[in-house]
Amino acid sequence: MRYSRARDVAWVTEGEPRTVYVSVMPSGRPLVLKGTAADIWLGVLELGERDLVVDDLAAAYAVDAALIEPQVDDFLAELVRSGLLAAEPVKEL
Amino acid sequence: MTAGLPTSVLVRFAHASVQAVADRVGADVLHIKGVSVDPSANPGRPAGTDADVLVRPAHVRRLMRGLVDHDWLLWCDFDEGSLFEHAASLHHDSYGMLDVHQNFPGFHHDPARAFEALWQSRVARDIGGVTCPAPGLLGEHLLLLLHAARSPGKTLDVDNHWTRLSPAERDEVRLLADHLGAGVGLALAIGEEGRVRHSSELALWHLMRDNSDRLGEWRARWRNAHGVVPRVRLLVRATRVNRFDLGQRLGRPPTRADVRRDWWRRARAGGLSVLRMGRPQSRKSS
Repeated sequence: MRYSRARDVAWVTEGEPRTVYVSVMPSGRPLVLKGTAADIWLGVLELGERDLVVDDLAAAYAVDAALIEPQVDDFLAELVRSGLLAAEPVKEL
Repeated sequence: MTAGLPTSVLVRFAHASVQAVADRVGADVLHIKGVSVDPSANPGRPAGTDADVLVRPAHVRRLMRGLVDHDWLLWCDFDEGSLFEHAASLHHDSYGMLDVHQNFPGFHHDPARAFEALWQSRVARDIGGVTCPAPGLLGEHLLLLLHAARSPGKTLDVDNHWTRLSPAERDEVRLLADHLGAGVGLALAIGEEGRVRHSSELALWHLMRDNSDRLGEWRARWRNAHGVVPRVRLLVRATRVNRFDLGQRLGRPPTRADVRRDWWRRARAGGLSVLRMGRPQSRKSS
């Protein structure tokens, strides 16, 4: 699956480690993402593909990818339900 | 509610929100001041605490309707604010404050023409991941200088947008100001007031700058309102209650009874000011 920021979504990062603030425009309630949630958001925007995001997180936190896959999938699904991310199947070449 | 979110985040979300509304209702807006300015041309300038946009005058109503439809609450209407009636203030529970300018002091002679000139040289700025049109560099120079003309102490903007410019760049700013009828405002900003000392517009700028003499402000408005209808409208506005100001004073949203009481207070205060103004004059004439 490939993810991208949904249309009309604004986001801002602040501080170090980075906190991500994200909101569906023009009138959604802002969501504050910290820690791994912020990392997943930033990973999606940079890498797009779910598998790449999982691998990147696993490397960053030095854990087995299989261990974090379910939580990452749950969180991505929640962001899609909230209208913050759009999902589409990865096209096979 | 906005509590807990940094101001720098709120301001960006406010810009993103108004742009999303503008896109939906088909309104042209230019994002001005604060986070929308070119950072390289504005060293040392703070990002500000609210968002500001300038809207094409013909699109004001549709934008304001769109904002209210998307949970922006009108706090101060255009005719409740400055002498130039140039901006309305709105508040959003999640994004804080927004000023919508239908005009900009200095561009008030022909706001539509001024907007079009700025729009033609617009640039795209990324604010919170949303593409927002903003004035090009020349327009930004003039706009921030006009802002400085009515805001004492804005020396940083004068430094950034005038003092640091080359003579050729200054000529371009002067040319644009003359083209848009903004010569008086520019002269005030750059310390050339003597050059425009005979302008009838000067009194308005002084009152805006001093922001203390309410009766003088209304007298200046009266002098600038030509004809019966504009003057009747002005009298109605003079006693209209500014709900935002009243709410700030009360520390809560005003009720209808609060508004009625404040209307009488304003009417009495206005009457007393006129009487006080009249007394010395009558002594002199006797």
